[in-house]
Amino acid sequence: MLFGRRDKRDAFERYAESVFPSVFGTALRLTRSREEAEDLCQEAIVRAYEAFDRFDGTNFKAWLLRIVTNLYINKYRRQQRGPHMGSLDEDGAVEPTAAETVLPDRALFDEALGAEVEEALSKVPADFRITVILSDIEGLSYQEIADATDVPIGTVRSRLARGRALLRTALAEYAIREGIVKEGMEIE
Amino acid sequence: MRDVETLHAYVDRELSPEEKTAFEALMSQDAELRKQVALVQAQKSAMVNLNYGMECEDAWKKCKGRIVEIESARRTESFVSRYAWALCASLILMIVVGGGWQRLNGNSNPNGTAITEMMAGFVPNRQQTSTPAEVQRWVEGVFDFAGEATRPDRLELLAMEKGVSGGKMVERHWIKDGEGQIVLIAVEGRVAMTGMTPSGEDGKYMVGHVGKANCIGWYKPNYTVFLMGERPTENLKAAAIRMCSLIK
Repeated sequence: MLFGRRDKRDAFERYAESVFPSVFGTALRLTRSREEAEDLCQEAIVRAYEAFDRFDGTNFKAWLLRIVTNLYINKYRRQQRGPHMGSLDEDGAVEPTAAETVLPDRALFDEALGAEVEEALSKVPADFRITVILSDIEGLSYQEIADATDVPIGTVRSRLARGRALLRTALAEYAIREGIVKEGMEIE
Repeated sequence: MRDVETLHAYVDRELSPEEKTAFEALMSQDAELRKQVALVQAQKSAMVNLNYGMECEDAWKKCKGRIVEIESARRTESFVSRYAWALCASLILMIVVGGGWQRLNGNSNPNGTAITEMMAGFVPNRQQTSTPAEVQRWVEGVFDFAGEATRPDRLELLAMEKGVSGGKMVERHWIKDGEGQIVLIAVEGRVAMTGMTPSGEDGKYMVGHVGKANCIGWYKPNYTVFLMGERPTENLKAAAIRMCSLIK
């Protein structure tokens, strides 16, 4: 029994350590505070460890990110009443593709440094930010994001489209503010 | 088909094969759509670049610490819950065996409580009033040297009792000297003087108190002797010295 428990702990630590940078990065991008990110991660790791017997063995990273996301949504967000969450009408989140042409395009992303994208990402409302982070940074599938955030896949799709658009807007504002591009300029 | 969500789903490879084929057909005829796809792909690539190794060693150590805490708590909980009855049973067994052994061994050592019992607790085998000559004989029997202190005009034995306390023979003598009454107790064998502290130049005698009475005690080859009285310890010691020279 003791050996079994030790094996379980070793296995959990191996899994968790390998994906921890992603988990911590996600927590940091959600909370935007290192201290809160550490607390969130600790709580998530404890929850995950206690529930490790129920892990189905498929995608540990997605499973752990789901715990982190759920914890953030259920606890931190309500406690802080901080980030603006989903006040944008999700049914109306589908915007015409033409709207995207007025935004700075790929050259901006090609040239953007990580810090700039991070800065822009932090300006995106939390529900959309979570979806974009899980999809684009952590590489989760729509189904995994739907599981992590407890919403239907259709909502994931709309949040992703809307979130990326918001990110582009934030990045464009940042780029204009920093003089990377000029207002109204279309980069080919 | 040409909606934003489908476009993003295409970039994310979340379209079914049929949807993908239809979308690519549409894209091949629409330069603007291709441009939009490229934009989203560029954005996605820029985001993927954020998946770098973030400095999180300290955070991970704290998490590992929490796991260690959980395991430690579980081990304790498991041990206690599993062996609680065994621990209780062992404790009870130890008490019973220890008590039995002490009783059978007959070498029990009276402690402070027992000394109190010696003063007032046991039922005497006999009680008598002694003559001064009897006092002198008894004191001389207990001590190696009594000398002048045992002169009948300096000590008066008011009463004497013999009995058993804690499995040991005990003799009590109520003695009156110039300063009042004192009680001299002689216990068979060597008795632990629990609660008393060594005193004297060489720690030859022990001092303490039982209730209001101060007490000094010392060992003889076959006795343990206590002298008690409601007077300062030094006076008791002086009384003992008057009776004998053993504890100088």
